[in-house]
Amino acid sequence: MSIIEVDGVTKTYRQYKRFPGLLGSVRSLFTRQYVEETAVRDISFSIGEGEAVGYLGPNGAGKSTMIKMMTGILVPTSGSLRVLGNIPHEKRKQNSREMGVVFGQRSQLWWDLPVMDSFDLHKYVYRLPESQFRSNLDFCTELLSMSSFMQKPVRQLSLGQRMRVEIAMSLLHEPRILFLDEPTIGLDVIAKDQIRQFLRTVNEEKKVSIILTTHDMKDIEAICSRMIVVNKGNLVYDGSVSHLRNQLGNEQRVTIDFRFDPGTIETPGLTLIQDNGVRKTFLFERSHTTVFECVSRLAAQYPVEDASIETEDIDSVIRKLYQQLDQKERERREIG
Amino acid sequence: MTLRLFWKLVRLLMKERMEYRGDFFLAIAAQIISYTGDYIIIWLFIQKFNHIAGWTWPEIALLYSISLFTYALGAAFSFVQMRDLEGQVNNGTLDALLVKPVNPYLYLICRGFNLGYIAHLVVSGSVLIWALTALDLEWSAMQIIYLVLTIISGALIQTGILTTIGATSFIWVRSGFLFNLFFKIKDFISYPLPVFGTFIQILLTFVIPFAFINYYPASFLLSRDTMLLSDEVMWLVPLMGPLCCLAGYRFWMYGVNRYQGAGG
Repeated sequence: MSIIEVDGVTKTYRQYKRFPGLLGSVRSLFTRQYVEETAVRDISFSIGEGEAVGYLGPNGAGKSTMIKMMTGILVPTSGSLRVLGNIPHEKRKQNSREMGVVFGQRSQLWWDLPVMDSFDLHKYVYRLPESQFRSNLDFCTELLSMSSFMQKPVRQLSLGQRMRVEIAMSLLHEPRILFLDEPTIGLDVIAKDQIRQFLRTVNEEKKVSIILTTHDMKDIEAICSRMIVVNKGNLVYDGSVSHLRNQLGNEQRVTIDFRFDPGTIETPGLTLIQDNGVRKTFLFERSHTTVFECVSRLAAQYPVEDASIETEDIDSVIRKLYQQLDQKERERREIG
Repeated sequence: MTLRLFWKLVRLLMKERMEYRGDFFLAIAAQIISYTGDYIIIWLFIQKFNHIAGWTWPEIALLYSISLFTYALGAAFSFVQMRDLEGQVNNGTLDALLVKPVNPYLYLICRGFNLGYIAHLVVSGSVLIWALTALDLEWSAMQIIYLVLTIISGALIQTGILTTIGATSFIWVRSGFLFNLFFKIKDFISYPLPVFGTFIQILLTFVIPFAFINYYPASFLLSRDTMLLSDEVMWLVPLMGPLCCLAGYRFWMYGVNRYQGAGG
């Protein structure tokens, strides 16, 4: 069953023209000239209950706009959008009980009061029965190890602690969908890891659907099996993470340490990209032979001390996807 | 938005204030001194001229106290909330409000309920009670009810106007200058309306209904005739508050819709 249905959704912002200078600002008041900027262009996808989806794209790709439309904050300019069977902005209050929303950089906590007070208020806002509130809070407190700072004022928390609090708070009312807008931005490795593990647990055990935007591909690898990639308002990829990797990440980097410098080496399938004498680095492009065959062939001919094979990381896969898109666009322009 | 939630917010707001209690009490002391000064200036003024437009010192004290008391009540629910709305729209914190299962307007005004206005209430409340005793009026039950309704209505007018100004930040992004204008115009109602010319009287009655906050109800309680409204209409004066507040609320919701891209 799908809980989010996005069908041909477009969002354009109107920006009224501003004129420079003092006279210009007076003129701005009276003219109605504007430029339309399309943040989201004709996007369609559907998300099933219990899925974890990464929503990815460079800055200004329209990620936040999409999240805001799904949560009912913004209204699409055209297209149809249904979340939990409802049109989000029309049933905003009703849907909000079933949704958790975390905006990475905008805190809604009470800065000067202990963390517990913000949780407590949440209980009143969502009218939660004490038992439900308690058991959910205990669950989060334990998995996110929050007990040490429950009584500390929010202003004294580290960024990582604060983000854990925000995420815990978004789950207290047992939402069916959790939206996270850049939940790991600015966090250290350990904090990121803990949040990723927690989100995976929530998705797998509590069956909460997760939609998260991020710039960190590791978030997506750790939490999401599916990703949607957008660029300049357009949807450019929707599918599994491993599929995209297979499609684009067909390069591997092979570094070989020789016992002594073997001189020039000619091996089919491997292209030399760096030569430091005894250490040489090759690029392997997937073809009819495997990388192991190539390396073992080398090892049979030359005295090999050590060899390492690196698969391209997902970051460079994504980079490649963006580059391909840019190139396509350029070609299209040249033809047109 | 339930009463339980409101009390919870008030408890948290009190706790928050007490984190910086020195600052809080100092600010209250400063406000009390400042407003006492305002009263003294008006009092000195009347010492010199005996009356302003025929109004004596206790009458003026009543007029000014209603204005200040209702301002404190109304502004506690709206002034800072509406002034900061501009910033909330710009940095996106308003979004968090829109994903809660509560009415965004009611939550916003209650979340920002400002305990700092206690100083205004103490000063104006005391002078109000003194003025009522000094005036030696004959009190009927109807008049007491009328006074209570006047205060509620006045607070609602102030909230309504401040809300309307706040809502303009959804449309123009900047609304600061309108708040300055609000305080400038509000200064007019420290004095009886007949002090001013016809234009200002019409302005404060039919365009921006500031005169309904204190001048008309006070005239009615003091059995004074007014230029623009007849005696019978006076009973309807307390209706202006709910009307004003409703209009402000509607305009605010229209603003939110516009912000969301639904209307406008």
